[in-house]
Amino acid sequence: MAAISLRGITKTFGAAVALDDVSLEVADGELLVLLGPSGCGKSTLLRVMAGLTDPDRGQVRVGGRDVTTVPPRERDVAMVFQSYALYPHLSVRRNLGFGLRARGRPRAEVEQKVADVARRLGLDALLGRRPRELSGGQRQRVALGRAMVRDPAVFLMDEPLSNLDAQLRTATRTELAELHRGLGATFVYVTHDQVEAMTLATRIAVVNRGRVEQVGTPAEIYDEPASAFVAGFVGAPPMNLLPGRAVSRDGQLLIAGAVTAELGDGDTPERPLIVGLRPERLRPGPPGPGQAGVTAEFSAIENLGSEEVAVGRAGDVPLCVRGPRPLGLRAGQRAELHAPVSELRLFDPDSGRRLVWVPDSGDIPARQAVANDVR
Amino acid sequence: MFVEAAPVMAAHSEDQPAGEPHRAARARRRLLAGLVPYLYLLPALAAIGLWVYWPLAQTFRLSLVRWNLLPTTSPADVGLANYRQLLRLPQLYQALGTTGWYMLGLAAFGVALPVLIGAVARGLGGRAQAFYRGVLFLPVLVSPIAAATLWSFLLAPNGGAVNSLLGHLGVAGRNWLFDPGTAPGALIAIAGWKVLGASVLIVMAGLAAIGPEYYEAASLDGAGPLRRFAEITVPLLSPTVLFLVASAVLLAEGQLMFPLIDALTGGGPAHATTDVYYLLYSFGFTSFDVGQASAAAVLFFLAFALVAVPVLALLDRLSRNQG
Repeated sequence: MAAISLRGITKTFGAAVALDDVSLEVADGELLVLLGPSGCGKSTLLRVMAGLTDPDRGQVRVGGRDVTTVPPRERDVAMVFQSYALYPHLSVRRNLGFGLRARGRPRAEVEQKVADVARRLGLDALLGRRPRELSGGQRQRVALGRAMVRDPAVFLMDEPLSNLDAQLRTATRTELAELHRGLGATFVYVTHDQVEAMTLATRIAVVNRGRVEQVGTPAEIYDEPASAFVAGFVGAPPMNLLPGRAVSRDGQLLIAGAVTAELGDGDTPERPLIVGLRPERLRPGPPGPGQAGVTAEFSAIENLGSEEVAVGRAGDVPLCVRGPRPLGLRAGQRAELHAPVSELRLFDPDSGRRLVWVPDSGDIPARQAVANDVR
Repeated sequence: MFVEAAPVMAAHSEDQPAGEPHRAARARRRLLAGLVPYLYLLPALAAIGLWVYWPLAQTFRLSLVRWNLLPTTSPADVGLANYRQLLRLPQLYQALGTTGWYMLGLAAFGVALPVLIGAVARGLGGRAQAFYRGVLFLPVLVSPIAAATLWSFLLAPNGGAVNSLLGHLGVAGRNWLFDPGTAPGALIAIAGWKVLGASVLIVMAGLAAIGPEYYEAASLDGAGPLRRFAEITVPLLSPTVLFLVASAVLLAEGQLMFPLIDALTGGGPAHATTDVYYLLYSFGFTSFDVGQASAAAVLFFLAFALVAVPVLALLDRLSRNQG
């Protein structure tokens, strides 16, 4: 059991900045998901924790101990690789026991622990096989077992489900969540799959271009995105991001542009905004009081079975609506949509950061951080 | 009452496929389809047959006759006499011994040294690695005869670069290629110089094919450098090593040593550098005793097959295990 603490981690590869001054705290026993698009630096961050990549600057602490310069084998961490990295020339039994043998544990103990883990993961019948004789799901289990057998304080997982088919991925996801509860160890889990992130994580760290954009619970990340990037990355389809302006008229604060809304009392010089609206909060029909309105032209309706997604454009930006079937929208239709004003999320067009209105100050909407902003 | 609901589906405009095709036409089509892979194989099979198996069969037939290659004389059938005579020749056993030394030398330069160099070079940076690889590989590009000529200059007893250099160091030079004590060693060194580069390249390719994640997983698993070398590098490189044994030792003994021997020593002095291939060549094209040469060729073919077949079988098994 151990907490992980990263402070000011910076890593460059040539001219490319993979990690830019990243600080992150992972609590003991938590399952933190590093979520981001490919190439955002999330895997590099995981490798820095494992000790496979040395940061240029910054400090790594595991369980309170500074391990920045400690080799991987002395960090008490285990890693599940995306490729599983099972030793191809060794049987499942010897793959599972490799870590214990390498640490010079007595043979009886190795056999005992390998048998325990194999039973727990349902690998008993496969102990004599080589990795190439296993299915993708079985390989994934062996990789997991190889990490578990050493009973490490921290499990690092680099997209462990990405090589499985969709059905197996869902089942294994559930098992991983159970495993995390059962072991009580600290998990750091890298993925670009937001469904995995939302369902597994106790907290999610959204990584973009080598920086952590936001750290929060899945609900916080989804409901209160700290930046336009997070809003536009999480959700299927992601949050609609529409250009707009904040203006005030007769002491009333208004949103103008593609989305129109009344925010209540307030006074501001006109300023540009990005207005965010979740597709599932939008409904067809003209806005009533306390509702924001937007008009869009729809080009396609996607049937998801229980729900429908209407794809279209509001002006020249894409816009989606998601809701129970039938939505009452048709391809080729131009329709008015509405959503409660409380569902609007406002972002600064330049910095991309979340903007909130602070009534008391009475001046320009401040670039105030939302609760879980990490910058 | 309940009736089974027909599945809701969009109307199909396509017609149903036409009725069953004629049975004969179907059989013909199946036969043709079965033939196609063999047609693709045919050119390669024809080439191998014409240039490998046909000569092999010819060799076997010629090993049972006495003939001097002259078209005006006809081969006389002598049964196994050629084989009996061959096995009584002391030259044969000397050539076998020399061949053994050549193979040992090629194993050192073509297998052991490349593995060492590869393991060390892996730690070098990209640019330095490319440079050393290039330097080591250059001799591979020199044709054996050109290399032999070059080395005959370098090893010349009077005024050769090697002896001059040794003279500067105060060491007496030798007549490297015409001293029975040094000639086989000199040939091994030249062959090694030529074979090393390609082998290093193959080892480095083999090492590069071992995914870095195995080493990463092993280092997280607690394995130090020595254990990683013994438990990851060695087993995963073993197909490469076996391939080198097959190519750099078995194949190079035949294909590389021959031109060097022919150009530099002609098998001498006193047969000291004659290996089995050169021996059978001199039977055939110096003594014009085709029967004897063919008998030697058949024997050596069988002997090499005895070594090569297990090596190739093991290679196959190892590479499949790691697939």
